[in-house]
Amino acid sequence: MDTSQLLKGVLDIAVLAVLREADGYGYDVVRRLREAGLEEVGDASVYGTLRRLFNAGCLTSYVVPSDEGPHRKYYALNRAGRETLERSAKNWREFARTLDRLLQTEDAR
Amino acid sequence: MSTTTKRTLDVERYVEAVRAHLRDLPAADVAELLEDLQQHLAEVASEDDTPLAERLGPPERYAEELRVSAGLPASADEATSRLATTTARLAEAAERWAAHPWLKALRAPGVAWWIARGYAVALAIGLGTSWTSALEMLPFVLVGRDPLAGMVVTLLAVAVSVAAGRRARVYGRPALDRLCTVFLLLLVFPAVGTLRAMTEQVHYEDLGPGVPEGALARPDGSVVTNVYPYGPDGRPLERVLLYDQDGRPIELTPPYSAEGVPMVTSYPLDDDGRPVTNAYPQHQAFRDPSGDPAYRDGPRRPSPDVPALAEESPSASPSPAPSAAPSEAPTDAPSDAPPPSPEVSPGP
Repeated sequence: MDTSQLLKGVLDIAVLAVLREADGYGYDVVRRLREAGLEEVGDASVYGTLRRLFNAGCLTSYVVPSDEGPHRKYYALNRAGRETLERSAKNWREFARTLDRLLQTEDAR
Repeated sequence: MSTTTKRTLDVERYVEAVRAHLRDLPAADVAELLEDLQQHLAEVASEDDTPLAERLGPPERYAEELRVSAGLPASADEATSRLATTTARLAEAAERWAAHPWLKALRAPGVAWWIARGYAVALAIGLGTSWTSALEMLPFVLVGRDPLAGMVVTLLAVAVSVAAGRRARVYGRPALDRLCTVFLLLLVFPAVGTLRAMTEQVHYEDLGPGVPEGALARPDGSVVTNVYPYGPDGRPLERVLLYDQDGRPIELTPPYSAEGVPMVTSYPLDDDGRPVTNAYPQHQAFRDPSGDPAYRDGPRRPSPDVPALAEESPSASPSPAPSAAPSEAPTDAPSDAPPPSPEVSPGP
């Protein structure tokens, strides 16, 4: 399984995590994900995920007017988003631990 | 054209292309999804001068990735996705339908009996309103001789019976059920009889086209074309006027000859000069196929073995005798109906 497939399952967590650090607008979130090491993340995927999380009630949004460029729409985590992130993070850690254990046992053979 | 304008155009075109590939989705969803795409892509474009299609890939793929990550159904063929939506909606509707209490009722055990019970009640009502005609029309229900009313009553009775059955949960009220069972069993025989008679009637009607109008047909399909009356003393009679049980003159259509040539009947005239069509025996002749105005002779008078009837005593009651002689002489009227008294105008 390559990174992009693994990423599909956990993009929600990644986006939520990025936004917990700081609010961000669409392209900003893409950049930060790529800088963090997820180079293969698709622009459309991030945009779509942001909209979905917003519709699910995990994010709030606000527009920041700007002199030079277009007005930017920023996304921020709300309480529900934070809780979802914590829950998902816990699940992820447990999942990763289980998978690690499996791999260790396999390696040990 | 300035870079900014070029960039803006590029973005706009890209957005529109993406929108085009989301055509199959509900417009509201698409609008919401693309709300900020223009801005977002403008940000993307501002970083670099490379056209968006190169950096982000073809709009089609972008649109697909967008749908998936946004949680919207992936587009198969437009047609198949529309088909899938329609099928899904139909399935939903069918499920809602099946859950409807009325349809649920029909699937309950014992429904067949509830329906039969309702039918029995409707039959009883029908028979109550008009015994003879309802009995004749079994298994169809007639109420007051009206089949339409019968249908309505049957439907109502069945509906009530089914509803009552569902309410009762138990097997309904045993006494009423037993009564209905007996009632229905008793009516099986007349019902079968009626059905048989109906099919026979149909059989007779099938002979229709071959029989000329106004003719008397024998059961084997052959046609009576003339009547030769004889008196009780065995003498042949002429100019006898015949009427049926409703007082209507008995008329026969002249048949065809062996060559297929129609026969012509010459009718006697009454006082007013009108032809009398029910005087027997009728005088029939063949029209010459060659057009010769002269007529050939018609069929010959038959010579049946005519019995002479014994003297009738007025008190003798009609009893079917094994001999060929009719038990009722023409002068002795049958018990019920008096002979019809049609207007008999004296012949010429």
